[in-house]
Amino acid sequence: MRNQTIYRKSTGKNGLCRGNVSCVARGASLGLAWFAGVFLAVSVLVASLVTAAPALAAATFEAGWQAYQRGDFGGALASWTPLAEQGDARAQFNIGVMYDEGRGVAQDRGKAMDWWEKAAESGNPHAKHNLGLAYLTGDGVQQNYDLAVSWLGEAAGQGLIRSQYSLGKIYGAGLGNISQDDELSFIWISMAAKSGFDKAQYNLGKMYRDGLGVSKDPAASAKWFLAAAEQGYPKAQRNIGVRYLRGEGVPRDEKAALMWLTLAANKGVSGAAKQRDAAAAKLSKADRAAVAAMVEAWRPRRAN
Amino acid sequence: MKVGRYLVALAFLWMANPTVAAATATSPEEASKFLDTLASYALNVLRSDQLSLEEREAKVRSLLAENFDLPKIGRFVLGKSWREASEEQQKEYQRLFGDFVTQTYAKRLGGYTGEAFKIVKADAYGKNDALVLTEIARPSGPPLKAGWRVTNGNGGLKILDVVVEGVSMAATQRSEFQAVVKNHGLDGLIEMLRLRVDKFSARGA
Repeated sequence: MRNQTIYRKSTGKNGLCRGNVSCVARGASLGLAWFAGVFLAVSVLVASLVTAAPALAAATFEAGWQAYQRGDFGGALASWTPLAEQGDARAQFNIGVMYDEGRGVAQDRGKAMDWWEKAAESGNPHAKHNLGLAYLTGDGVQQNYDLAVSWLGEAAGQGLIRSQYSLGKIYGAGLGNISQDDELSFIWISMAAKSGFDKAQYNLGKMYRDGLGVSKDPAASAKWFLAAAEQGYPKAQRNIGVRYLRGEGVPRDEKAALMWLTLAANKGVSGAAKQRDAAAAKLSKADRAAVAAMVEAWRPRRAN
Repeated sequence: MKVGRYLVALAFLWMANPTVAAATATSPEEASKFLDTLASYALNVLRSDQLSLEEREAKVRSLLAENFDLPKIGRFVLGKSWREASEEQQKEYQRLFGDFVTQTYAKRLGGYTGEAFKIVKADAYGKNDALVLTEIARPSGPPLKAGWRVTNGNGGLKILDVVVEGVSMAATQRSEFQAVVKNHGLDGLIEMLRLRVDKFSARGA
């Protein structure tokens, strides 16, 4: 754009070149045009480099990911290291994982922590989660429950379901200097449950059943046990089976009870086989056969 | 006094020895064949370009679960805490330990794309087991020397330990776990195992 304007201006001057002064002006103007052209070319080049840099970084990151998928961890590390050093949080996170898991490098949990710290400072939620767990377990770092809770809290706030669940469990049990807090536990567990995490749904079912951090609510308890059971979580299958058997929070339904208890017993949940037999004893032969067909046809439903 | 202490140590070693229950001696030749079959199956999986990394690792995990004597290793690694644990703790620990071990090793093996795996020799190990010595070529540096302790358990031949460059993996794990139990109790260890398998792994764009 700028180049064209200047060019037109200079041809305009060209037409007016009659005297020395004008011709000097014309020469100066041409010189200016040349200078402007070079300036423009350079600035276009710089601008394209600046806009190409993220595209290049994306391509390099992708090349690293392809190598990683092939199992070429050395290749992945070679692609990601320059990006990580330039501050690419995804590359920093992945390199941290490679050191933590000992993929293609000697396992070094300290180095993993260093890379995750960098990624977390740029806001990477997965790095925050892993840092939180490392501080919790004392892997590669001095155990520190306050830091664990604060990193997990950041990741949970950014919407990571696993972090929400971990925080819920920590507050539910109390750990080290973190005191037990059922209300906080309830908040985080219900967040994770609403996002569809089966273990959280099962835990939420227990909290409504026992009145932990929330008032007892048999109907809500049954609802969450059922949600986890439908995803195939065995302990929840036993619990919802018992609810149906007793009619707690749900209308009594021996057939549904037998189906869930059979599924739970098949997965080896302790106590489920005995309750399955109790449910079966209340049903006719025809009903038991119908339930057997239901068990046969049953498939887990995945929420997310 | 000294002798007494020695006897106590000896008794402890005997109890901690995971092979005590194995009834039949393991033939070194059979153990070599077993390991060779296992390695070629694993290599087929790891070299496959039809499967994603996640799928390859899942297959390796089930291979490890089938061919390592995980319940026995789990008990050995826990040491005396095993007998002090409640039935429920034992069950939960074994479940998590199996996940932890297979996940850890599948991840390390995920990048193994078929460098030569060679059985060097096999020998009797203790009264009941066999030790198969192998060499695994590496892209750079000398080959990795690994010894596989194979036992003849109830479900046929199983791997009981891997000795890498002279270091027993089971013994290493045992000292790490016992330190956690000492500081945080068995429930602390169970929680640690649960959390360790809950970390996020590498991610694509």
